[in-house]
Amino acid sequence: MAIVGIDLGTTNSLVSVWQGDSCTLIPNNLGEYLTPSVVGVDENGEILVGRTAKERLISHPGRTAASFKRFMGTEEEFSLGGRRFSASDLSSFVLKQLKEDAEAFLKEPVEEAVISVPAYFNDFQRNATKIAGELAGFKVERIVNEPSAAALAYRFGKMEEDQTFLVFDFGGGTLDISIVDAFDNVVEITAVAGDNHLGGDDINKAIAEKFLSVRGLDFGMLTKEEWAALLKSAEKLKMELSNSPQAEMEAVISGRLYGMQMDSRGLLEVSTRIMESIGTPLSRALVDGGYDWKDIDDIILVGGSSKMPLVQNYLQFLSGKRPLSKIDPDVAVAVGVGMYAGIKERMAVVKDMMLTDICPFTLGIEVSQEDREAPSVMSPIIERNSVLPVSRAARYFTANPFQQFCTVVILQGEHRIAKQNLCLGRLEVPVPVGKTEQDREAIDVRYTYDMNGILEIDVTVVSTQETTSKVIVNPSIRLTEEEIQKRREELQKLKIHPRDQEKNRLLLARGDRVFEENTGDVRKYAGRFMGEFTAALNTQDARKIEKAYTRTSELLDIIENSPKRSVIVRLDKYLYDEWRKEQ
Amino acid sequence: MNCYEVLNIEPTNDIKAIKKAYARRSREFHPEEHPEEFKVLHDAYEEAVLRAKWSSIPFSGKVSHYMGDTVPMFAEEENTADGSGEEPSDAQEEPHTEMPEIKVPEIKAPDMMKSGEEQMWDARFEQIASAGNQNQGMTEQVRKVIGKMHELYMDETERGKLYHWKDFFDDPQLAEVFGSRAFFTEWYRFLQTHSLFTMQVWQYFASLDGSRFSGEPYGIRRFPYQFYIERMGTLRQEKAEPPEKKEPVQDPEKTKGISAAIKIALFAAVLAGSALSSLLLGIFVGEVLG
Repeated sequence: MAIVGIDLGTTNSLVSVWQGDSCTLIPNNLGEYLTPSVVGVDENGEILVGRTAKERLISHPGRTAASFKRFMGTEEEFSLGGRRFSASDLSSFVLKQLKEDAEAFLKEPVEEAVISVPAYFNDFQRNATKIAGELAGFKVERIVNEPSAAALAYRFGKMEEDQTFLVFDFGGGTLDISIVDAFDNVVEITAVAGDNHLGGDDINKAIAEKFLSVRGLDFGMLTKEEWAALLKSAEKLKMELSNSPQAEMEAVISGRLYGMQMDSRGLLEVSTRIMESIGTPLSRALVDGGYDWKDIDDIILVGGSSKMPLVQNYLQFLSGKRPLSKIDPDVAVAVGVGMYAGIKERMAVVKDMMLTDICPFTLGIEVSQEDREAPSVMSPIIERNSVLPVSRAARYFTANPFQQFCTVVILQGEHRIAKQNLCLGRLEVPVPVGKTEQDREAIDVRYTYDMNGILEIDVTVVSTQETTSKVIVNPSIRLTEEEIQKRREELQKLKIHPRDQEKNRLLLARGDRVFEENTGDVRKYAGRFMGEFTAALNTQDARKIEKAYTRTSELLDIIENSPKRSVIVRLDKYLYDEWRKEQ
Repeated sequence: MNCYEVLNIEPTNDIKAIKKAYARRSREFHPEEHPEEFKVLHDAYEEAVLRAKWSSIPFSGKVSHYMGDTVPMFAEEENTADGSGEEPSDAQEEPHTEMPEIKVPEIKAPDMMKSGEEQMWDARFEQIASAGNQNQGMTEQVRKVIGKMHELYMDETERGKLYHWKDFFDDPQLAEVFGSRAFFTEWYRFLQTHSLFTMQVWQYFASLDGSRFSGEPYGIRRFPYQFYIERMGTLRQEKAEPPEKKEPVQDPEKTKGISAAIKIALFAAVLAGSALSSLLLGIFVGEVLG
């Protein structure tokens, strides 16, 4: 039974598998590799995933959720059609869809998976991802960092040279930077830095904001639908600017059509603050790893947003090197995760490939300062960028006379003041009470961080050699085995829309969106076409449905891809040609 | 067992050899199969590399960066920089006061090759890079705060409530953010497209700016709060109507341009008027005399 690799992205997700001596990407039922990470609930309470749900983002924003990866590991809940879901629940629907795609492709049940996460995810976020996998019915074999996976993909096939490269992973919602030292069969990550809330989505928002400010509009006047449509046309503008020096966007707000032109210089101005934020993690990764730009042999681009010429030029300006994108930035991570699944299965070709990862954050313990009034500080035990698996110990002493307990507060983060870091949990250890006021007890605290980034704590009281252990899982969203089982059953009761009707379903959703986005005559036309398509669907005649499907897709293409002014003319021409053919 | 025994090599300062040995041994102790042994192996590898790096310092002719800033190192660094052509970010950081006359033509040469367009981009990138350094991670926090404010604003029923906004600005943890330069530019930009507040909230914002925080030290002009407070009254009647004119907020240059144009026009009018009156006077005088 195969292990699949899954790249669970903010905007798109992919699934891959190691077959023979190469990695194969698995297409979904629409024949595409990229499945949008969007989940919706339709009017019948059925779950929709992927492109179909993405189309409904504009027509049914209240029943559709996107970019939920940003909320992994938080208690944030999404309300869709009257039901409440956590980010893990929503991710599990995407994972389940990918699982079905893989099973259809491999023609065998798939139960094990390697899932990738941003290198800069903290323990809570990693755990939430693991839970999502379990909710989808996977046994999660390993959590891998996305840039590390991409590095693995690049390294495969040219293992002779020694190389140091920088992986620049700029996706829809996260920025991850890793520095990789590669020699022989070893791919070693030496430094990681990033920003969990910076991505292409932010650039779309900045463009939309510029649009409003140029046109003298206010956010407060927008409906949810209009905002979603505006974001979509902002994204389209951004993509067009990748290929042409100038582009145009249009949006209908409160019944009026507004337009804006932008060139690449304008795009730079709009995204200035996002570009500024890129510099911080870049320089931190270099400093942490003890590198200079001249030590870096190659820059590898990963993630959809790194395709932007603006981002590439800025990187080239900083580094003096042209960044590489030999593997499509959209799929590089998926290819690497698939390879890792192969390593995990001990497949012959990749058996000896070794990927060592590091922990992105410092792990430590809260200690009080000599001045008791001052806030307690963090004492590091495992420094950030230590290679996994790792085990480190440190000795601490009781602070007060006649102390009965030591409270070990486990912290993750880089701030000196304890409170500013993330608290992963606490452990109460009884210590022998001292006889005089001067007596102090010592404890040894050992942190062990395994390859999945799961932390285990052992506290030994030095005088008695008694040991207390604890494995850390998120206290707030911690789920026991039974609770996961229960939630899985609950989610299973929700019907997922059958795969075979996906295509027609997608077209209906798209039609709804086009109807929503347009006004006046175009809207009337769109309504008519969709009515005709529904009628064809009701005939249950496969040939008629297929014919209507092609026709409706073409008509919607005309509406979407021609300038707003000439839509009607082109539609009329299409209908006239059609009529002539029938005569 | 010392680190070299674990790696199965003779003690050496050759980092390449250490890496080779580590790679070889890692095939035997792959972390997927032997996590415990691998931990020991990796520790040994790190130790050996560290030893090699440190011991190489006194023996090699080169001065490595572990030694700190010494004069010979500068000379050497400078030479390599010259050899490799241009290294803009690097050259900036180095205090090259000693040999400015060498540096100048070095930098100019690549610049001449570049088109005006590229120079513009590089200049803009330079600004972005240095702004990023100045803000020192503050941009990330500012983005988060503004993001939260945006979320609150999008909730139509809640955005008019003053206490929500007070919660933001009274949060002691955010005090540092509100004083930063990055915040000011973002805050003013935010207000341009988020202006449907109640009079109360606008007045609160106006009272904060200048007393609690101020953009003046950064040379940022104060946001025209008064304009919006006055507009609130008129806007209340016709709610959904977008503001007709926003020039005073958006383009200070434009208003300057307009006022300059008006000045010129006035000046011309005065000139024309005086010419006309002198002509009339001339005619009048001629009439009288003639």
